[in-house]
Amino acid sequence: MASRKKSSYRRPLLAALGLTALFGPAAASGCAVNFSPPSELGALRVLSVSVDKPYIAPTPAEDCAKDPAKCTIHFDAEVYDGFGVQSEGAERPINILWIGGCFNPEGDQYSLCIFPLLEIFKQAAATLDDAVASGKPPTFPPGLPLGWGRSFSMVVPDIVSSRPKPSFGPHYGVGYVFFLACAGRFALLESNASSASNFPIGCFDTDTGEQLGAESFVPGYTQIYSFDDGRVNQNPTVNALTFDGAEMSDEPAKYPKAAPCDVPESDRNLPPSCSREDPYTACTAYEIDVDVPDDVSEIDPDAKDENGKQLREAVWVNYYADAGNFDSDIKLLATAAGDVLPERKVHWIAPATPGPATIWAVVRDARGGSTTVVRTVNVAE
Amino acid sequence: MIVARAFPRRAAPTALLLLAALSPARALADDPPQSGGAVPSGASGAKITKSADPAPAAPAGQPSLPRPLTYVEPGYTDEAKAAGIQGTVVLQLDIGADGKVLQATVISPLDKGLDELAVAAVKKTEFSPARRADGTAFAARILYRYTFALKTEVVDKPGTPDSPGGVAKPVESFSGVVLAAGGDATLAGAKIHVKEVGGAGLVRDFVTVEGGKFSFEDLPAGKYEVTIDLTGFQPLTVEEEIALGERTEVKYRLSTRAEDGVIDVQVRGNKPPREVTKRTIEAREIARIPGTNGDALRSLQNLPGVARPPAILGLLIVRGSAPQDTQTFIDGTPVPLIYHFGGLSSVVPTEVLEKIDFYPGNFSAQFGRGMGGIVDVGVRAPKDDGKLHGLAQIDLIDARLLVEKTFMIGKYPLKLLAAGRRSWFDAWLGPVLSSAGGGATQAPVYYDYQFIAETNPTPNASLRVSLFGSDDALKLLLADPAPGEPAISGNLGLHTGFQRVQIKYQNQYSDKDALSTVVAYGHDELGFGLGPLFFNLDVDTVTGRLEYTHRFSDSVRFNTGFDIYRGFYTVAFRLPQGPAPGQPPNQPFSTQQFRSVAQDGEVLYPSTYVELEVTPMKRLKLVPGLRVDYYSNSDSVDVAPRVSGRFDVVPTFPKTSVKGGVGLFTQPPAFNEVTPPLGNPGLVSNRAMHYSLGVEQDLTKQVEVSVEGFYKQLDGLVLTGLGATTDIRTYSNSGTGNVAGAELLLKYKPDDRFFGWLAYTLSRSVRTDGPGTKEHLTSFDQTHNLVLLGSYKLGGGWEFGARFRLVSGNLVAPTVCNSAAGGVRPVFTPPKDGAAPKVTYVPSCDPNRINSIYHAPSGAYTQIPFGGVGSERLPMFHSLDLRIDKRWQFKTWQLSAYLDVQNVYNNGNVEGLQYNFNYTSRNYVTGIPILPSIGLRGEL
Repeated sequence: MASRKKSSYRRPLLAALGLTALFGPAAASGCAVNFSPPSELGALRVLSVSVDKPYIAPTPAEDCAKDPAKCTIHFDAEVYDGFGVQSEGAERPINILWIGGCFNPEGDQYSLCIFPLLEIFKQAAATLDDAVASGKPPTFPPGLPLGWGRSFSMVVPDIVSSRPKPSFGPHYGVGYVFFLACAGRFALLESNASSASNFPIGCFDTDTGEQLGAESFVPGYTQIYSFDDGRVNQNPTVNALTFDGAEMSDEPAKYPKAAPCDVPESDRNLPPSCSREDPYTACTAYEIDVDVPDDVSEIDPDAKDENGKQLREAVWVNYYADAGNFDSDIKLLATAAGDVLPERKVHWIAPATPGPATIWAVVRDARGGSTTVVRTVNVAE
Repeated sequence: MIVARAFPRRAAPTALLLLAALSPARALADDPPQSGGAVPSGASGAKITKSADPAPAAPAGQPSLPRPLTYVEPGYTDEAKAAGIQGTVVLQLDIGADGKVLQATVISPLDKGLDELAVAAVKKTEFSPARRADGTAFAARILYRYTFALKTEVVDKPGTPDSPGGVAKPVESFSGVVLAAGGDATLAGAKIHVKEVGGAGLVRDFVTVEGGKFSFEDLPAGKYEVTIDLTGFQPLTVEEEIALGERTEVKYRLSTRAEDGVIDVQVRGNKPPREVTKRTIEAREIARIPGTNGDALRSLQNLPGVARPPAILGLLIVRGSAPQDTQTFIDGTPVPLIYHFGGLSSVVPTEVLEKIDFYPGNFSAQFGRGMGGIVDVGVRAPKDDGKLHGLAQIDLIDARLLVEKTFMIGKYPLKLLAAGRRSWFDAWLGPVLSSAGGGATQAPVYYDYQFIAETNPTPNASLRVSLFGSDDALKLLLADPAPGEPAISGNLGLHTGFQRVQIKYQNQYSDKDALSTVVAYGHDELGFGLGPLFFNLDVDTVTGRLEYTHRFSDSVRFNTGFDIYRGFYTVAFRLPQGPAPGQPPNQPFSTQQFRSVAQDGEVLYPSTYVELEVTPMKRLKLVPGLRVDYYSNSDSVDVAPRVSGRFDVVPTFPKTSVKGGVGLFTQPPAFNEVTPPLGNPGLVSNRAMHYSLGVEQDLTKQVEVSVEGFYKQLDGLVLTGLGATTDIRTYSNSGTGNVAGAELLLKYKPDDRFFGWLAYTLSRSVRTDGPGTKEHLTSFDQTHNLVLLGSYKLGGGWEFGARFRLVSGNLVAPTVCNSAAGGVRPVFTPPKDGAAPKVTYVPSCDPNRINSIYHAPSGAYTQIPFGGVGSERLPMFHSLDLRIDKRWQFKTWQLSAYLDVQNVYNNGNVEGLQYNFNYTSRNYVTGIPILPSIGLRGEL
């Protein structure tokens, strides 16, 4: 009798534990909505800032005066206002302010450039308000390293020799350039102006005066290097962007065509672990690839592996689209070992709505170089 | 186990049985007790066990367990006699250093009042106390057994021609004695079961009497399977052949059974007699704590003072100290790690552990070079019963094998043990990673091994040669770069490992002098590669420890020792410059300027220590000590005085003890901090003052509570800052901090059925990153840590356990504020245009706060932290783990299986935060969901 009594609770207990073991993991898998991927452009976004000379040779100031082009770096920003398109049907006027002139901050810390840029900003604040109000480019006080619009140029003299030569590694200098993309007017954030841990400039609605959020304001920075050995870094070469194996043309008549995918946006970002059918089974997935030469990655002179083998710069591509979805929006193209990876295609699913869809491919190397390719796909009826 | 079996006819049932794990007492022959009294018999014919003979005194210089000096008749209740109750009552006795029975707990009961009789009788029994090799008496726990048997009338058989008097005289055909392995202690009360192999299948039973003797009469000739079984010992099954007309005499030896948890593997606080705190987890507890998969070292995380480590990290966070502040040893030799990947299991399997000495603080002067705690893992000696033993176990993570046997080489025993373990989850994790796009080229694999050869050149000496090691390796191909670290892609590799060859010698020269030494040569490897980055560190080590102990008198003992660490390292790496403290750590890791370094060097850390153990009065023990360390890398000498003590306010049950300690503990700077060009000279050691004060109190015979407060004052902590040039970090001893806390342990001492405890730690751990900077909580601060666990034997080989944990959430430095938290924050407006400065309050979580800044070269966003280090505490962790075990006992081996389910109610415990690509929103990262694991184990 005693043993029978014992089994009366053992069996249910074991059964419960067994069921838990079998179905617990399934129950644990979540079905929460993922974050939107970076490739989806639902806000104001800076997609790339291309620099014509990621590495600039150190040049004495007097030589720069004689030949400014030798010391001038050009910056071009690729900007897209997804929030404007989605909320107002078209991109809003975007004001872009550039602030340069910060070289060799202590410890190469970009954040140590924020207070200097703040002082520059204060000197130009009134001019900026006028420009926003009038819609015309501002006239900055002379001598300030400021720029306006999608492009910016800056003279970079020798920023290496003034810096102590390190005890090991190359002798180099670094410079930071800040850019602020805003769908409104710029203003100082008083509460942040005294704190190094907060960004001190905000973007405000020109009509209401309310501060705008990340959907309408993108502060950013880029950096350039200069080495005493005069080494250069070329932006990566891109032969073509391909769509299902065919080169994508920038001529409207030759835009590739895609069939719409009848899956609503709300169903597109569910995680794969969620127990549901693949919503894209009835849709066509188009292969997107960037054609790069085998020597797309340059030698990184200071990089050697533990066996002394010379390493190269890693190269990767970021994809963005104003419509449709990628299965993966970042892909390694070449490793630091110099291997160009054969499997680098991603897949793109067209949106449900017919019309043109823009795809951006930004190919970047690990030393600050980048090349941006923009192409259009026609999503047919 | 309850033994209640009718004794065979004519078998002289005995009585008292002393079961001691290491040296069971020899029982008397079936004669009247030496006290002169006759064998006590009840009027109704009930026959009571006879007194046990005092166990023989241990040889000089040998430790001994308590021995009964008197025998007290327990009696027999009328109810038991009327009901025919017979059997054995097994008691667990706590015997004090004065030989008094402090506590008697029934762990194998009988009915009808016999338990009470046994307890009452044993409490009147006098014992000689347990003694160490030097003769010092100490408190000990033993098992003690009364066997109750009703007197059986002898029924005369009809006479035979050759049996005068008409009574047949039995022929003793098979007899012998049962002893405990490893000595000459005899075992009374062992059940001998004899079964004829083939033939008529004759079955006979006998229970050994005093002297461990047994005899079977009139066994027909033939083959017999003989099984010997006794609680607390491994059952033994052998085959014997009884020849016609011959008398067979045998001698059997039984090994102690670890599963009964008498004395086997211990996790405890400071090692006596130098302790402030002593906590013990017995073998049975270690193997059955839910959520640990039976891993001994993981069970450490259930003790007070040990924080819950972040998910899948095998870290030991002791009393608010950083993981690297706690040192780990195997048999006295330092090892770089004690856990495999992610804390899945420890590098020494539980099966080869003898004990774990865990010192949460205020440890003896014999240990140094660490400001946190000490974990010293003791590897057990191979079993020495001459038999081959083995073990095989497999679960979802790994598989392990162990074999051991002792040979006699002349008069010297050669005890051998070989064990190994390899993970096999790569077999299923590799495909999972590949299917998830991980492109695993080598899924995580770990293994560890232990080889031990031990002998006793003299009865008082042991010599052990060990070879042990561990290895973890992992390789992955990351085809898709992480969005935040785009240049970090390609091959990912990780490898850690260590090997040690160790020689350990111990000798108890006399009852006053002892010597212990251990030397080891080792090799450590640590390496990882990630795209263009790598780090490789190889260290060859020579370590040694020599300790001499001399007892001047019963109240004064002197310990002194020499401890050396010699390391030859080669390091090569290519890594980015890290941000300095105080600077926003928000620049993409992969786009910083890389630094390549390759160099080798050596360090020498010799040290010496002296320590006194003073007992000025019976209830007071003081342990003052002094340790002197030299560190070659900083060319500095540290002198660290320490003292600890214990005072028994109430020396007998319910015992009350007060304990405390204070001492200085130092830790050398890391080699990269003090070795140019990575670091800078001129640094000295990190320092910590430990203070602790506590009380231990018996609440009942089975429940005890201990409360201890501790405080650690830290100063001279090495911090890094920006150097004169941008590529060099400078280090300085400018950090300070403190840890304050209290620990509570309410423990139900393990008995035959149940064990469990409640452990609670309240603590606060803060640091200051240099003069004038604001004090902040450390990332390993845990305000509350509650562990409640228990395990109950259901019977029939089943055991069920549960563990519940409630722990303060992890501390993070958030980038996106917690909009759910509400509240306001002050905003200071500086004076302007003659207006006074003012403070206004705005919502704590500003939806328009700029949380990140776009980094164009990488296409990633650089986060701008919302708060400082430890500025937000994540939600509280709570989890229920369940475990059920089943053991099947066969004649020559046993099989066991378990199901261990972590996080039974699938609580989404928050382990961290994750953000979207531009840090405008955040989600909680949850830890292990409900996770069942199963294991199967066979033992020979």
